[in-house]
Amino acid sequence: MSADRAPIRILSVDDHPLLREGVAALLASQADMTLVAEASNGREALEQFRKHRPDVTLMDLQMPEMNGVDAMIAICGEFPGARIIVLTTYTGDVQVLRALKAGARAYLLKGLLRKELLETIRLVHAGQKRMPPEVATELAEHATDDALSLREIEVLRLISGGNANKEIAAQLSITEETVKGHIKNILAKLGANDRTHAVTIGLKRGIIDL
Amino acid sequence: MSTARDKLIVETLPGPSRRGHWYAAAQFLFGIIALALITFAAVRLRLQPGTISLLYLIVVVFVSLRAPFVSSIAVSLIAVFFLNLFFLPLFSSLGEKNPLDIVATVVFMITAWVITAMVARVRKLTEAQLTLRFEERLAERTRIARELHDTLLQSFQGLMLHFQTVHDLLPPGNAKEALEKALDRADQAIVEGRGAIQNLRSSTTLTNELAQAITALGEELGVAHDGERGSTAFHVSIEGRPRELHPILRDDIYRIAREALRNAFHHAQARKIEAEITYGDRLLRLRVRDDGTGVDPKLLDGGRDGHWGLAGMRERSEQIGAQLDIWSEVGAGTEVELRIPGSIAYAASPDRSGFRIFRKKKETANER
Repeated sequence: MSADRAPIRILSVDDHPLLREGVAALLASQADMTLVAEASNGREALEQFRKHRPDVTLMDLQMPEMNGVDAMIAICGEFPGARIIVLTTYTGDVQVLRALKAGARAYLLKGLLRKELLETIRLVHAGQKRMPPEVATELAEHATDDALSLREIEVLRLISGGNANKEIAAQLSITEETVKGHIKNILAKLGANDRTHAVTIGLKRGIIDL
Repeated sequence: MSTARDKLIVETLPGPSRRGHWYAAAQFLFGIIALALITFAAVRLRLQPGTISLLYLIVVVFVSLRAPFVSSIAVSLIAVFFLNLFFLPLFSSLGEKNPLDIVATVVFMITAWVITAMVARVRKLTEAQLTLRFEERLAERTRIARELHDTLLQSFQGLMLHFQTVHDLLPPGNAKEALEKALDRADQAIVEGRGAIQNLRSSTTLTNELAQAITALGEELGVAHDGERGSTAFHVSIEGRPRELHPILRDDIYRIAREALRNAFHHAQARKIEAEITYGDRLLRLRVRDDGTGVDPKLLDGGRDGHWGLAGMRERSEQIGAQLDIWSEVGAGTEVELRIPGSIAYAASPDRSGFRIFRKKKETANER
């Protein structure tokens, strides 16, 4: 089988070895693709990118040391033409937005990987962008929402850690009243009934990590 | 769903009055009356001074453990006064002042306070142990959720890619189709697993919305149940000011309530189901009542335990240091009552209102 063009050179970035292995196996079965390097965190990804200049990069978001978003910002800063596909578990609109702003060309859910990975790689290589319909819907749904401020996100993260208002106040060096104010805003912005609901929404929308 | 909402009545009743001056006064009065009765009986029966001191001691310790600081001091001073007035002269010849009086009084006071302190300490330790257990379970739950998400789920997704590779290599035919079907099922399983992990994670959030959770639960069960049979009215009432509970504690209470409500909705054929949550100062109480068919008490006491999730409910309540009682009779409905001492229920949460005096001091210290 002779491909008339050179194969697509791919860099795979994920902190989980079994997932990288799966991606490698799938890519190995394709004649028009070749896996040139792997990385297990953002820092390694940047190094490997400099070394190999892949055509397409598959990027996980949640990784130790340097996460996917920071890695994308770094890579796109150095190589504006980088074509990066985000691989993630969640459809959360906030996370998607962060990834897109960091320079992602496509967004791929890990649950759909097996069916859509190869097609997405080819599309992105050809210069297109791609977004799964459910992610696009999620984005559209919250397009007009007020975004949480950094402080509010911090408070929400502490709530999700099982902290009471008093503990949150102590950790952020603010008064309990201020914490209550933040929580009121968070509930209003997320449209949540209570704190548990807010955390559930926060996790779902990718505002906070698991 | 408007019908379900109509049947659901949530109501907040004024709680038992806050522990205040009245409570202190009542405890004080109780102590005085007990002391007076003992004194009266002792004079009548000519009891030995040793016996009388012991009885006094019991009253003082009892009051000290329940009452606020001020009334327990007052009661012990009065006990000393009674002791000196009526009995201590027995140690000496009448009318003479005896150093033994003073020694006996001091010994009495010290003994009373040492016993009080010891009992309080043991209690504190048990509470601390329970709190620690809650904390451990919380940390563990968070860790399990994270671990499952970071390892198991990712591994499965990696494996799916391997299988997909195999699938792509297979020639068209039955094998390929069967594998495709299996892979689709596996996709679903992964989605379910992810949902379960998210639930596990959000169960660690601190909230005081136990009542809301139970209300939502009743609504859900009611809707599911009404599909089969006639309508059941569900009523939730909350007494007292809702307080924040430790996530683990709240989760366990919720699960016990869920089991009780599920039994009421599915097995009891009840017309009316009531849930009642009381946030008392000394007690957090949950009651689930129905007017259904009831359960044979023999079944409740054991024998066929494990039936209706009773064993699970008991185990859970034991774990959180609660008391679970179930009353039922065939044809007379069922009542499940869960009682958690306030010291445990609120101790684990930072929202506790313990000894007022000490609390105020601590707060001002924190602010500085």
